Amino acid sequence: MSNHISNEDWISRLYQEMYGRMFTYATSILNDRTLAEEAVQDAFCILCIKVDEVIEKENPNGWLMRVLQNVMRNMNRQRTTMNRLIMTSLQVENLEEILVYDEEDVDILYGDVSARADFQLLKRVVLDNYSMLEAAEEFGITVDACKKRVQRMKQFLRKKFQISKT
Amino acid sequence: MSELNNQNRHNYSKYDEMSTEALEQILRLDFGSLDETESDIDAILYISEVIEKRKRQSNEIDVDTAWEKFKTKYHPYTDGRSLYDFGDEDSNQTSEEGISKISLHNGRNLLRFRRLMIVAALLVACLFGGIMVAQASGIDVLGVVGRWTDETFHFITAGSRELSTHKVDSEFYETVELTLDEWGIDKDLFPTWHPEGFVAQEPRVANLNDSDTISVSFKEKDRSYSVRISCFYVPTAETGSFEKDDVLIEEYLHNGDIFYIFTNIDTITATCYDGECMTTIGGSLTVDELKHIIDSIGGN
Repeated sequence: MSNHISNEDWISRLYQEMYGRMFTYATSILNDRTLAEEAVQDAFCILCIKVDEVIEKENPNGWLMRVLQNVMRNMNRQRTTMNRLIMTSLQVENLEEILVYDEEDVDILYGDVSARADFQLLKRVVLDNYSMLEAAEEFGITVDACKKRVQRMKQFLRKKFQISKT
Repeated sequence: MSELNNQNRHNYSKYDEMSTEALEQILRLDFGSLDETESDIDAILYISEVIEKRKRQSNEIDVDTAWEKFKTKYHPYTDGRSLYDFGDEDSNQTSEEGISKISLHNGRNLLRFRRLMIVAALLVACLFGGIMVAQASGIDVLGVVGRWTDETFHFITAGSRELSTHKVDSEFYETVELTLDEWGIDKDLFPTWHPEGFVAQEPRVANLNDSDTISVSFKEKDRSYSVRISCFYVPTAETGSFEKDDVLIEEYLHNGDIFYIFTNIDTITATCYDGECMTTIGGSLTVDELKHIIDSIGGN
């Protein structure tokens, strides 16, 4: 992040200029103001990583809109996949027994998280249409931790269902 | 920072006169067809700006609060990837790779946006002025309405593609099956039989907020029809509505599913919704042809 600090003013100005347009666009597409805001914030996070390249571009506004489009497509795709995983999970009779993480996983051993809690988190994000930030705040964690736990639960459910199919 | 140049502003000024609803519809239509072609990003920027100006007047957008949230809640915790990029096969490219291949100035995009303009005009005309208004504008309303009354709005490319030289073969069938498989649908939904003389067009995919849709059009010299499969993320009662004649709807049973068959002027449509996916076959077909197509679903 340190090498981006010198570009902070440029990012700030671009944010001031573009946020409204991007939020408007995302709201039209996602039909949800909270998710739209998160998609825009996500696009600007990506900009911060790429700022040294983007600042040289002829049309950084267009670049940002492209990134926003990709973020929204990815958001829709991930939510679709996770929705189907949840729907499949909820049809399983012994779901409570299945929702146990492998204790050999170091993150699980020392992370003080349970599969059941992560499943609740995933349902908040997918079924209740919470943004990652909204879900993170409800669970008292950072947005990064929320992402990791959602990601872990998604992988966990995928693995379980692949096993059950064979 | 670059801005739209004056020439572009002049070209896009037509959007100034359109309603916010019509402009938002254009944005959604464009986004829904991103898989088949890229957007005219300058038009997107322009339209978004037009809408934003209208909404700013009603204080619906608070940039300062959003900026504070960005600095304190999002940016400090970014891991270098999108929040929804989990590094798995479901993740789309959200960074440079997904962008660099796209030209920001593309004449084809302008044509595509003109088509979207026509769609929006139709939408407004049919909502507020009736179909006759659009017909008077020389637009093939009847060819479009059957599409824009359903949920997927596939009419945006109606008549816009030249006939493909591809025959109806396994290539497109496999594409459809693979796509459905990617969506987690393990049912055989796509028909395997098509009337002689029809040529299949490339499958088109649209990802909307509540569903994924894949459709294939089939064309011969004077007739055409399409097969469209929409898979909804959650079961819904809002699968879209169809225009139809004032005649009875026929229920046609196939493999335990009911296909509802109805006519609308010179087209015939069959549609079936199993709670997850909606299959729709419609166009210039005879009833026998339509039923034969339905019968081939599931590999028969």
